[in-house]
Amino acid sequence: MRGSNILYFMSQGIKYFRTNKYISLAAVGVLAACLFIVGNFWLIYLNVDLNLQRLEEENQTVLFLDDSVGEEQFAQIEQSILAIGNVSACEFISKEQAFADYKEAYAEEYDLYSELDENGINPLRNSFSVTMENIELYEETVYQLSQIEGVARIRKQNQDTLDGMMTVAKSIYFVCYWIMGLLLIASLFIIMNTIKIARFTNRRQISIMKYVGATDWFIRWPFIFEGAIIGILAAVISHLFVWYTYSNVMVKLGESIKVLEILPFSQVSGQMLLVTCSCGLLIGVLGSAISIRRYFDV
Amino acid sequence: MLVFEHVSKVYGNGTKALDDVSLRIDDGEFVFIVGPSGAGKSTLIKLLMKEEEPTSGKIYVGDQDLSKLRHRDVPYLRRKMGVVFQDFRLINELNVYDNVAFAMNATNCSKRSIARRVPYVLRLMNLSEKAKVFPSELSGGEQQRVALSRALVNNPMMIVADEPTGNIDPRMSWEIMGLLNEINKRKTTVLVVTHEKSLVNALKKRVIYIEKGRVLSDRMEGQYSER
Repeated sequence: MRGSNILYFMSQGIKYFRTNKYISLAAVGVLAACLFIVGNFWLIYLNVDLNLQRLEEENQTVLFLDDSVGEEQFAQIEQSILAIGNVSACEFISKEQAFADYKEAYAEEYDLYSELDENGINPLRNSFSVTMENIELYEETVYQLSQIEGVARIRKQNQDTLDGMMTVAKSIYFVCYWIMGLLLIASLFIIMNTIKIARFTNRRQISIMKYVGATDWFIRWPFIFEGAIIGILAAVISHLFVWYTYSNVMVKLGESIKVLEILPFSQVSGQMLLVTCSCGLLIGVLGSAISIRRYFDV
Repeated sequence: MLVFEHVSKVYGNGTKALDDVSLRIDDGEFVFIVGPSGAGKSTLIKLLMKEEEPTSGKIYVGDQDLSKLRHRDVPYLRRKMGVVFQDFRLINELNVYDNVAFAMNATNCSKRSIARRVPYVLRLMNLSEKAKVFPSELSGGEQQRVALSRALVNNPMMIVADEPTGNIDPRMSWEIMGLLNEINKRKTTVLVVTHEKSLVNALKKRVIYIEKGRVLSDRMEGQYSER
């Protein structure tokens, strides 16, 4: 494709968009609505994923060390932990660090620990946070960990809660995938049919182009650019609507239900725009390219 | 050179449009193809443009066997032919200049060659004054001259005209035939499908008479009604 051709195709694409402006705008509206719903489900997916990860992190297996264990033994205990096959990582948390984290997490409830803090007493223990590779070997691994010398107590994962959350999350993922997939397919068909109406008005021009010896791609490119314009416009509009509703509904919902952590929109907007633009572009271009095929039989 | 070798065409619904047609048209010839409605004249053009495939037989344009021509090469075959239709097939949203330039744009010509070639062809067809006028503001004859300009602008080796005078008044018909004759004098092969007996009889060109899909007569300096 020559540079001058790209400009020609783009200008023709804009021209087709403007010539069929009502149909083109209808296509933009339909696609924007679909992308808006897809975008919201995508955000639900991201937030469920985030909360699940957080729950997993909060629910790690922690080995509390006996107070009699001296600093010189920490490295040896760490090696013993890592020597267990199913352990993928472990992190040492000193009792000072644990107390500092506690104070930070419960800064508003200072009364709870003010006396200890003022008297320089730290009731917490040195510990190791352990991550495992295969959760199915969990109990066996916990037993092996408990056999390490110097381990006073093990705080196990709340496996039932995690399993329950995982099941709920999987159901939500399943629904999100299906709704997003079905909506994208449905929007492709709607776009194809909407653009087909616009193509009907161009059929004469297409047949003349065929008769004078235009190649299929020469005819197709402007329509592909038209589809790309529809897709990008729809993506940008849907992005703005998703931004508005997310900031006014989801984020406020997260503020009222404190258990849930809601991603700020600024953190996902780039990824979101990329996803909606890619989907919009793909559907617009595919819808346009497919809808023109029947007019090539000349 | 254009050759039809024992070409037959049967459509899906069983209609036999052409039946064992063989003919040869040399470069630079002016040929009328005549016959009643449904004789197979339009099918002949469709096969030539590779819009349809023959059921049997071979068609050659120059050295090219059309049965061996790949789909993606069809546009390059069509660039060798300029086509003129009875209903002009102009784009109403484009003015005369742009309608003619459209054919060059569609074949990927540079802007410079379009700017050079289009005014030249419009001048040949006596349409320079109408360059900025839209098709709806033109008479039938003028519209057909625009269509003829569009067919000519890519410098084809052959002009194929399907009932070019079918939608225009008799005076304009003579003018269009005169232009086709002029084009032929410049060594371009001209193939005209027509019903116009008076024009065919007056021009004294080669006449191929087709009826029920068969070539019934093929004579130099022929008459319409010869069988």
